[in-house]
Amino acid sequence: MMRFLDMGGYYPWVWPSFAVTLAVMGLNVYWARRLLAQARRTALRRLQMQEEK
Amino acid sequence: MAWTWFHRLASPPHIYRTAARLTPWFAWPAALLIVAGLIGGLWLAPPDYQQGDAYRIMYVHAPSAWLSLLVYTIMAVAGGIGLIWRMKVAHAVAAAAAPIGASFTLATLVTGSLWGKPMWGTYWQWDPRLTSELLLFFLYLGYMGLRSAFEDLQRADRASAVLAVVGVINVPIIHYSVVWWNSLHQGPSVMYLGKPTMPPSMLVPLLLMFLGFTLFFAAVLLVRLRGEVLLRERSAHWVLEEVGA
Amino acid sequence: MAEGTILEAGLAGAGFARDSHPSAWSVARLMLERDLRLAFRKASQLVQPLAFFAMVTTLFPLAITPELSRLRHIASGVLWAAALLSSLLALEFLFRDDAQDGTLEQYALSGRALTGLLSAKTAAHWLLTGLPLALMAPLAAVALGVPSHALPGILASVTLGTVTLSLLGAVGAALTLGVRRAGALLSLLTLPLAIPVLIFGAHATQLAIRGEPYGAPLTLLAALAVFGMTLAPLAAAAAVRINLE
Repeated sequence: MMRFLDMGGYYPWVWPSFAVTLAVMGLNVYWARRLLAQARRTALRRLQMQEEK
Repeated sequence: MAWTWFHRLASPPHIYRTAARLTPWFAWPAALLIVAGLIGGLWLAPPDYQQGDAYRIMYVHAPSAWLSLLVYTIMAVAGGIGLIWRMKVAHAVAAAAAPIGASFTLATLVTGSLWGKPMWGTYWQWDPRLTSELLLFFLYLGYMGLRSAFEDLQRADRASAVLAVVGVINVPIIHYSVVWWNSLHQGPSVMYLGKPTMPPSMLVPLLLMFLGFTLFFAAVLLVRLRGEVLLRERSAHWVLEEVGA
Repeated sequence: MAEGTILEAGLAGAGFARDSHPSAWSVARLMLERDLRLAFRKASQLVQPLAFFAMVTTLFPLAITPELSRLRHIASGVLWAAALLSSLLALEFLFRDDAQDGTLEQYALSGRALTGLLSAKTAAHWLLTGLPLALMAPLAAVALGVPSHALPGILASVTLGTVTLSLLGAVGAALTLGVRRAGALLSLLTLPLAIPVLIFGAHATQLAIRGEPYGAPLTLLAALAVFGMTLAPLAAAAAVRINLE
């Protein structure tokens, strides 16, 4: 296990690379869901305003 | 007419519903492929005889670089379609794709420089691939900057589409000029990709990652696309059905 | 409104009857003449980019070294970076006045091909900013210790390079027409696209300084200029129309 984590001595570069890429993927998922949620909220608000008129 | 199916296919409510339905079909295979690729690339694949374990960075670097180019192309093609056929949905695709592409371009740059440290002895080398990738990142920044500079969404869509088309024509010119520039100054070029003989135990995880990243992009794109379509649809009846539950 | 701001009035003034149909060439020539005449009324606008170019080239000896033998090595980079920046600075004048007083709208409504009109405008812009820059570049080169045998090469490469810079700039300026305070955005849009010009131009200059044949990069610069001439006015016209809608 230690040998795996050590990555032949290259651990300071291998693990951050994977971490950065996975973080970018996670952020993409988060941002996408946030965009959709915000768009839905705006649409809902617009519809409510229409009904009030 | 033969075009009616096309227009129905591209109608915002149809796209919105289809995108929602399709998302899990891309998301789950993407997750499976990426997990399999990670296990294969980090654990099962043998160390490289030259680069040792450092080459494993390729399993995230190469698919990110692939996405950075693929997404820019998709953005430009979608923008072109939007300009020619005045199709809102195509512009929504371009708008949805840009931030994803920019983030993977950044990931490519960071992983490339992390790979460069053990291989070149320095985090940054003016290597043609990294330099082209950096310029691609600037192109993404310009695209998103132009998009956000307009308040009117339609104008933002169409102006940025023109920019994306101009950009995609220039990308190969920029790339070849950078390669040409580099060949003059004879930088130490470490060719890490496209090795003639990569054993299957190394190659298969890489292919899994390529496919997984592409499907991941598709899944994120579909979610963003729904948001962008909603933003472009003012007071349409179908929005009421979808949102006002 | 200043005289000659409207195309029809310009045509009438030039002896064309209001309903006659002058050829595209004579219209383009009129545009060129009008732009040149207007520009010479505001000479300070013409001098500013040149002064900026001279100023930027002065910064390098002050920041690095006054030794001409060392400056000679970086002269090509200094000249081209300064040329790129000052051509960016000059872009502001390309469409601004015509957009503000509605002239551009008149052009778009005139029923004439906007591409042709914008080509003429870009040509005028190059004559007013690119050509003076090219004439001044050899002077700046001498100040950086460049031997006199290199000056024809520098003149030729900057002349060709500024043609492409003006064309790219026209696209960038047209895209940001509707954006207030577009300076930083304009440079973010234009500079990545200008990288091939920088690479080929700086290399031609370097070869000329070393006394080697510089035909190859010069040909590539010419190819870029021709390519730009065919495509850039189309993109600029599309962008102007989008921003006027």
